Formats: sequence, C-alpha cells, structure tokens
Amino acid sequence: MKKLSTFVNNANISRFRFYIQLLSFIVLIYGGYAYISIGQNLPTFACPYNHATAGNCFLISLQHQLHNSWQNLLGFRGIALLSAIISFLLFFILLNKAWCGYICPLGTIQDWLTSLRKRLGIRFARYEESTFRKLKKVKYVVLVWLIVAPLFIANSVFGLPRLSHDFFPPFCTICPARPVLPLFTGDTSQYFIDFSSPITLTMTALGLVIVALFLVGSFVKKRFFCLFCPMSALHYLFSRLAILRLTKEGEKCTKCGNCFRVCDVNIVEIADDVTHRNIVQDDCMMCFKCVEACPEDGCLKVSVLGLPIFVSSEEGFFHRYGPLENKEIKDA
Amino acid sequence: MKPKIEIGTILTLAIFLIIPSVKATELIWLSNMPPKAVKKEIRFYGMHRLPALRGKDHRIHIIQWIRSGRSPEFSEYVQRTNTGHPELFVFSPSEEPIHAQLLHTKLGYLLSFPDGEEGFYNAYLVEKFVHRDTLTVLVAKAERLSHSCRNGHKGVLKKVPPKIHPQVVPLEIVRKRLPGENFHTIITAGDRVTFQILLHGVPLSGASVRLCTQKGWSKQLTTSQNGEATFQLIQDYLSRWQDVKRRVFYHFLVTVDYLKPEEGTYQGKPYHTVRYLGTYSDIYRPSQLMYSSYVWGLFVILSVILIASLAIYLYRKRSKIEFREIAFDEKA
Repeated sequence: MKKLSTFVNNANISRFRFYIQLLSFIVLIYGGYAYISIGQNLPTFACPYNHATAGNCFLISLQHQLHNSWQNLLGFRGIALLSAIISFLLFFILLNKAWCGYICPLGTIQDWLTSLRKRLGIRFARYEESTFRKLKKVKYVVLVWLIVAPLFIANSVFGLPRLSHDFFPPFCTICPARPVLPLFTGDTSQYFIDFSSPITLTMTALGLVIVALFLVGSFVKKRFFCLFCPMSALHYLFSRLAILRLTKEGEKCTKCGNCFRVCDVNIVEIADDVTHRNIVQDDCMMCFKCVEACPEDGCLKVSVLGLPIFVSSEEGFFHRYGPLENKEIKDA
Repeated sequence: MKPKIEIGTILTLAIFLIIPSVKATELIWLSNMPPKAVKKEIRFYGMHRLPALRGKDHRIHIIQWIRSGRSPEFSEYVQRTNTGHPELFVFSPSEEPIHAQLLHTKLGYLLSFPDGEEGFYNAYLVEKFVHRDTLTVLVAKAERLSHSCRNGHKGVLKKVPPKIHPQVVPLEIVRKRLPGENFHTIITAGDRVTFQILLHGVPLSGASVRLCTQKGWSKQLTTSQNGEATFQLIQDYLSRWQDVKRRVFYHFLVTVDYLKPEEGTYQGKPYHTVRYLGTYSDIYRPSQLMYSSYVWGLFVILSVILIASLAIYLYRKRSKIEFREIAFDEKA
C-alpha cells in the first residue's frame, strides 16, 4: 500500500491530466457519433449546439427549466427543475471543481492554446492582484443573468414588461462554447450575425466578440475565460458538498510560493493562506499542479471522502522536477 | 347570325355544374393554425408550438382545426366534414393507438388527442363516400412533433424516422426526414422537402402532388417511380432583414389527388372509380439566410482578433523596459 501511495505521490499528475483531458474532449465532442449519452445536466461545457455532443451542459438545461411561468415553476416544472439540479449535483460531487481542470473541453482548448504559445516562445500575461479581484466578480454577474433572465422572459415581474424572447437562451447566445466546440466537428454554422431584431443583432455580435476575445485572451493568458465562467461560479456554490477535496496543512507550509507560481489561474491564497484547511477558491479548477509543485511532505493533499489519494512530498517534488540546481520551477 | 355566348350564361352554368361537385368533396385538412378570432385564447406547447388545451384529466391535449380548402391562409374553418362521421386514428410516437375525438367548442371544430410522450404524433382523419359513381377516399394527415427540451432528448434517433400505418390508412403522405433531422429541426424556406406517397403501403407513382405555402405560392408535381415528389420551399415574401419574422411559423399544405379505375360497392352504392385524396400540413420558418450574415460574423470576429492582438502587442511594446547598461567605476 505504501509503495502504491509513493508511486502516486511521485507521479507526474500533469501528464496524467493531459491524457484525461484528451480522452474527455474526444468523448464529449465526438461521443454522439458513437451514440454515447452521458447526461443532460453535466457540470461542464458539453454544448448541444455541437451535433455530436455526448451530453449537455447544465447551464442550458437550467436556462430552459427556468424559462417557465411562476405557476409552472411552483408545480410540475418546479419538480423537473429540482431533479435537474439534483442530477447536476450527483455528477458534481464526484469531481468537485476538477470538472473544470480535467473534463471541460473549453478549458482543454485554453490549455492547448497555452501550449501553442509556449512553443512559439511568446510571453504569458498575468493580471495584477487588484484587477484579478475585480474581474473575478464578473462570473457571478453572468450567473445571475442566466438565472434571472429566463424568469424575466417568461414572466412579468412587478408589472414590468417581460424581457424579449430574443434574449433566450441568455447565456448560450454569448457563450464561446457555442461557436467554438462545433468547429471540431466541422460545423461553422454558429458564426453569424442575426439582423432580425436589435436584440439578436447585439447578442450575436457580442457572442462573436467574446469568441474572438476568448481565442486571443486564452493565447496570452492561461485559462483566460475561466475567470468569467458562470459554471465555475456555480461549482463554487456547491463545492463544499463534493467528496473530492484539496486541503492544506498550514503549519507545514514554508510559503515558498511554488504553488502560486504554477497556478494557471493565479490564486494567491494557495500560498498565503495558512489558516484554512479547505483551500479551494472560486477560480480553482483543481488541476493539482500546486500539489505537484509543493516540496513539503503532506502540506497539500487531495482526498476523496477524507482518504488521501495524492499528497505533496519532498520525494515526489524532486522526482518530478529533479535537483533544483539543474532545473527551476517555471511559471510560464 | 351567330349565337351570342354571354359571360353571364357561362358563370351561371359554372355555378350550377362546378360548385355542387366541389361542395360534395371538400378537401379536408388538419391545421395547426387557430382562427384569428380565438388566437389569443390558445396556448401553444413545446418547441414546435403545438396548439394545446388542458383536458379535464389535467393532461395537455393537442388540438387541430378541421379546415377545408387548398390554401393554408384562406382555407375555411369548417363545422362539419364531408360525411359528418369521419374515422379518426392517432398514433403516439411509440406507435400506440391513442384515443382522439372531434369536438365542437367555442374555439372551433377540433380534433383533440392527449399528449404524453416526446416525438411525432400521427393523426389521421379518414372519410369514404360515394358520389357520382366515384368512391372518394379522403385522408387528412397531421404529423405533429411534441418536444420540449425540458423533457430531455432521449431516443431521438429512434423517434425521428417517419412511421406509416397502412393497416388503417389507405393513402399516406410521408415526409422524408431532412439530413440530420432531430427534435430541433424545423423546416426552413430553401429546404428541399421530399414527400413519398404510399397507397396501401406501396409507393404510388404518377400521382399528382401539390404544395401550397401560406402566402399562396404553389407547385404541382407528379410522383416518381418510387412515389416521391421533392419540393424546394421558397421564401414567399420579400422583406428587409429587420422585417423578417424569424420566430413565426408559416404553414404549408400538401395535397394528393389520384384516380384509380376500380369497381365495387360501398355501403350499398356501386362505384367505378376510386378517387384518393390526401392532405398533409406542416410548418416552416424563414430561412436563417434571410436575416443573418456569415460575412458580417467573420468580419466581426476577425476585426476583434486583429484589434485585440494589436492592442496586446502595443501594450507589451510600450511597457517593455529597455535594456540599459550601467557601468560603475569602482575606482572613482
């Protein structure tokens, strides 16, 4: 047993992650061709606009379920909404935010763009801390929009006129997954501007602007879109229910800063916070690069139902990075 | 002196000779379109906006109006069919026969059947009667897709292909499915739609098939060897991009007329010819190309990519700290 845990702790988790991401990408993007259907409420971007998708993203399901009159929501449709949320949670609690780090095809594409940038030798970008703090709130605004807008489209609130149906689905119309993921099955049909109304014109143009920013942003900034992703915000709301955990024993931390330097989403708390045990932040995607880069025995721990499955260790650190005089941890 | 043929005489003859025969065989069809007077009272269900009523059993009942005529726009909403006692057959998406009824309500004369399953419902109204030595067999068919994304998308591939019921319906108009058709597919102007005509389950060649769009455009074709006729639906009105009503469903009506020399008796009345009349109505939408532009989409996305890339390049160039060699004279 000790041998197995040493083997896992010394493993190159980034390489393991690369293969899992590749496999997930193939299954989610092309799985429909093999009649694979994983579910309608997946806690990751599995876009139904891609005709070969193997499942559906929960956000589209949520928007459809909320697009109902109050009367329906308090009746049968409310039960349907509840069952969709339960279905989402059942998937989510298994992997927690590792859905973002290991499964999300949009995240995988961003990681591939990062690899391309590295190969081209182009410098990466990083936000200043104050900018980061401001930008990370955007995902909650988007989450509120996608929850409230369908209700306002289907109902008149406080006697106000209903929102135009042209906004629907309010997030999918501006989500970069809608045009980007179908590209991998050769479908370019989502790259259009709809001129039929001022709202559709604005929303489709905004959607394409976001796609362009997604491509450029992800190229220069690691996991650029994840900072604005409403799915990430939704995950964080339920993160404490999950069985997969990332924990830190603060007393073992020497604040060397390795974990922060390797973090793709620049979470400073991972290095600074020595008081909290659960260190999963709203932007964390549970890629476990921080555990890999931590040289302190048992400081960072990945556990399932309290059982450690991957633990930081000095041995593992040197096994992966080699003697420090030969190699440095690079954050690019 | 040549005898004068007056227009009035011709009209009088026409009224006496033609109108009774038309009245005798009204071309009945099943329509999704409510009369204008009651349109606001109708509730529409699902993605394909099926007119529906809540039954006494609290279930949703799909309703179809009985209409007579050849044009979807101008056909009459009738209160009685040719015989007054037609046979009704409705099959669920899983091909189970379901109970349907004809109702005289304040909304009009309706065919009503309960909805309870996702997929295509096949509804038939069949009438047989002998008139002037001819047995008329009239089959009005409606193929209605009941789908709401909230109910999921299970078994789409199995439920999409058309189903036929030659055991109860002598003449069948089968709409061949579009490539890649699923529950979200809506026929649009510009699509090539193929109809196969089956007589007792066998393809019928040489039958006259006519398609009439809502605005009155019509085209007549004769079925090929395998009983097929293909129409390309046209956008039968022109407008500016902004004026295209992209969410409006337009209706089209397909009619089949086929005469077959055949002797026999029906309800004690002898006949020498059988006239098969079939009707089939469906919905279509304006083509997306009428109100959207891929060129503008490409322009927007490329412009943003260029501008964003240039902005990043200039920002980086501006914030680059020039290398300056500072030499210290240690002796000074």
